[in-house]
Amino acid sequence: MSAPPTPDPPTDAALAAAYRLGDQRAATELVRRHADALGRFLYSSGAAASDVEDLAQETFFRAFRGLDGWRGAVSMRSWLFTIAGNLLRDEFRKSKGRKMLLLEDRDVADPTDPHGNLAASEAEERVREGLARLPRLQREVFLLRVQQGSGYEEIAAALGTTPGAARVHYHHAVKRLKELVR
Amino acid sequence: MTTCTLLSDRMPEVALGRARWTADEERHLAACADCRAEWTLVAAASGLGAQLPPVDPERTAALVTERLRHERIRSHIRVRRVALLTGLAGLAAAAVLALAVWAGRGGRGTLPGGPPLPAPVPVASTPPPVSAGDSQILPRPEPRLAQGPVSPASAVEFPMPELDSLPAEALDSMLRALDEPLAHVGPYDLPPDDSGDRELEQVLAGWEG
Repeated sequence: MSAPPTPDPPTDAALAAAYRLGDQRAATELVRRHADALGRFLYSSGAAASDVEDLAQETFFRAFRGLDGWRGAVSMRSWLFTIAGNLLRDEFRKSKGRKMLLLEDRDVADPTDPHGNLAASEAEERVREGLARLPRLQREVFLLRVQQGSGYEEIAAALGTTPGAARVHYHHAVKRLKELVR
Repeated sequence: MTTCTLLSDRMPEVALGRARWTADEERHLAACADCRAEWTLVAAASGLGAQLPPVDPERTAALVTERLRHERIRSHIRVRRVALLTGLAGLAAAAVLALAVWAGRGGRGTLPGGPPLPAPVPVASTPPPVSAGDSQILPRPEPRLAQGPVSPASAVEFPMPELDSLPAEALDSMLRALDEPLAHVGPYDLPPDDSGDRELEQVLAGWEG
């Protein structure tokens, strides 16, 4: 006897539709699917580790409030990253131009805390510092590519540019990061 | 496409564990310092933040939906408040207009809802000119300050059925709500608990009877 086939998990579009009809579980499932990737994107974009959860919550708040604006032309994750990028820009402006990634705010390894799970390797920390110095579009293209594996078509649709321009931004980002991280 | 470009395009997939390097690619990586530097960079960037504590989805979703609920209530109250203020402004304008009409008619009538005005002070008829030799001194006319008696036919009414139908508690709530400054209502200034929410809902319930 073969086990009954497991139904395919609902798509993000189906969950969004269910949430619009008042299904709280659909909202929870969407958060479960995307929260960790979103947190990593925020952290990689310069947010302090201690702010990541609040920023992720704010991103989901903006996303659910404007869910009608998500047409499905890009994946929900790319759309969430775009919202998160706008949120970080707003936070940056609110801080009157101060960099969000402060040198004293780095999550460097604490030698007195061997179990600290936020300890980042030196290489990762240098990459993160380098990312914080990139222009926003270069940084977002790079992160969508290396953290999500998104193709240039999808990146272009998410960020409102062309696939060719997205490819150029990616290669500029790689070149600059190589210089900054060297 | 050069081998370097091909490798560069595949790096994200390999870094995310969705693909593996072929033997040829591994040989190229070992020999090409530029590709090796890029691979180190991409591998490090793809793992950034992997050690962050996981977000609790239930808690986050509950907080987000609660914030959205608060915002909807506030938005509803704001709309209702603007509508009410617009209505009151309209009533005030109508009252000014009615007073102007009332004054234009010579002021004969009653103030709306008020007691009848006092009986007029008799105004003496204009006395005949006083002769003073060849010149005539005309008396200065007395100002007619006193108004005539109230005539029921000329009374001006200001019906306010939408307010009359409200109970006293609702009127009190409405007045309290109107006394609050509008500017303090922001989308993110949530109260620490839901007591503010209950108060807002009471105001809404009061307005809606």
